[in-house]
Amino acid sequence: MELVGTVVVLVIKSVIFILGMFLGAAYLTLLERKFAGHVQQRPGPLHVGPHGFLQPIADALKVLTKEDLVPDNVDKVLFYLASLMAFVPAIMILAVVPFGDPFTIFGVEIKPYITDINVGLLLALAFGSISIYGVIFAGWASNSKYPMIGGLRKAAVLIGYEVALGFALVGPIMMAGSFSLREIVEAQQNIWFIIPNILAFVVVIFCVLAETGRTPFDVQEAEAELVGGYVTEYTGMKFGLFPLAEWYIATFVLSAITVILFFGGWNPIPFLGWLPIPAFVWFFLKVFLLFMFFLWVHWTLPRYRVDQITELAWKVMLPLALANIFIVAIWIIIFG
Amino acid sequence: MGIKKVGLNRNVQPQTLTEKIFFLDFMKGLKTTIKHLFRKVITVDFPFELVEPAPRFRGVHGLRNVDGTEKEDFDAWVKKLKIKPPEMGETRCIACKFCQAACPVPEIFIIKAEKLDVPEDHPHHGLKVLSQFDMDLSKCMFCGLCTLACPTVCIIHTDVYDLSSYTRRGWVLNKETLSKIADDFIARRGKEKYDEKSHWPDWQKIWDDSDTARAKAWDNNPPKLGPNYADQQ
Repeated sequence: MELVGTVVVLVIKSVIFILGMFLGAAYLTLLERKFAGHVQQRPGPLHVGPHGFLQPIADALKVLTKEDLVPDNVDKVLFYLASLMAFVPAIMILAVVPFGDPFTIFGVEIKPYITDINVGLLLALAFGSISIYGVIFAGWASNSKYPMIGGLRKAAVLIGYEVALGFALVGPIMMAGSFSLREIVEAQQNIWFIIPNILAFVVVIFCVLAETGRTPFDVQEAEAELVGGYVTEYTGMKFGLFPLAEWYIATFVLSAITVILFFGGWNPIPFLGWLPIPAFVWFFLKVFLLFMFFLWVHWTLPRYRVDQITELAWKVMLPLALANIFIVAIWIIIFG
Repeated sequence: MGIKKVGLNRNVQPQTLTEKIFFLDFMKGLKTTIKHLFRKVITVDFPFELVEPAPRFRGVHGLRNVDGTEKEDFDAWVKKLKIKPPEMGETRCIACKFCQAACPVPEIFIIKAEKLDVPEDHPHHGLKVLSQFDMDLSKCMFCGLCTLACPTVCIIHTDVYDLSSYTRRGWVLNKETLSKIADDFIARRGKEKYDEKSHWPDWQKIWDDSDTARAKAWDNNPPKLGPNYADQQ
């Protein structure tokens, strides 16, 4: 009986999380388009609904009802699998992201996360990497030159940033003494982990930009050189899933993880703890600000070349991550 | 950031250590975008907002009618070409075909004048009148040479620019349509574009007097162009 109850609760939570993420991602597209427009002094979507507010829904209807073409010579299994492989793991990272402490309503304890396993951070890293394989598979399965180049570029970027990302996450883990994201947040009640981990934060920003394929590291779809990059042969919703997964869901979820690692998760901003603001509002405020920062960077910087990204990852970011581990170790020795 | 500088610009200095450590060039870029984020939108919401073209805009052609503001030598031209002296409201075109001669694509024009069928004692005996003036605007590049060639300021450019049509025939305008376009335009913006004698006003010169950079490019000795480039005809 208890098992049935757990399963029902988990299913309801998962459905809420997935639907919320879908709707959220849809409106993140509107946010990005509005932001990109105003950065370039144009208004962005304007006519569907007041100030383009219903544009994401119109876009979703359009993408879903478009003709779904599959070219003759593609590897059919991989071609279908790739779009799902980019999308599903990205949304599965949500399983380990906690949105707040457990709280009680009407005598029922509600945990605002799906699961709190003690290797949560590793799971998030793993799902993030599998999501990238979707991109590489898409490039391979399309059996076409431009997607192939795009997929290979993404692979080159992947082996560049993965190592640095892994080492950068060691700092917060050392300070919290746990892989569980909830315990990492609880360890930051007094001081955020950004203080000794500033170098790791820089590395993580670099890695999130590289993993989600946002400018300045969007070599995999470099539209000026590679037509559409790895999505060239895709149409309809299969095409729509890639940017949805990479640019919105992955960026949002990785922003959440970055906030949890470095900015104290749902702990209030220092000196503002007396405000009557619920914990998850603090959390979403921080995630939103970080997401906006990624958008800001995306619409500012030009694109790096693949060799430059690899050089940056191995020669700059990896030493920075290692130096961060050294600094954090000394910090722990001094301050306990 | 350990990035090699490539390209032909040899003046690019390598980044200093401070710039590398604190991402100063990134900050500069981010500052620019955030500055533009809060600026006013500069685009035009086209079907709902329209931009009024400048007076010198070269849009769809029009054929002006006689309205009392003809050039001083209009009557002389009419007499020379043996055209029936036009009354008020009739076209200024004297069928001289200067526009066709000036045009890089002369087959745009089909201009015909025919003799009036009147008895010998009628004052208009032997005089001609414009019977056909077709312009195929699908071949036109809107260079404006026809309007410069026109001795009576009959063929003009208006500010109309929406010329889409479902058929090619829709781009062939006859003399009634052209007259209507010109009448509309003159009623709307005639005062702005032409003075009392159909010359361009002084301020409609090639460039403004305040445009000092352009004058300097000509060593402060710009070519002298009269109204309607009179000295170039």
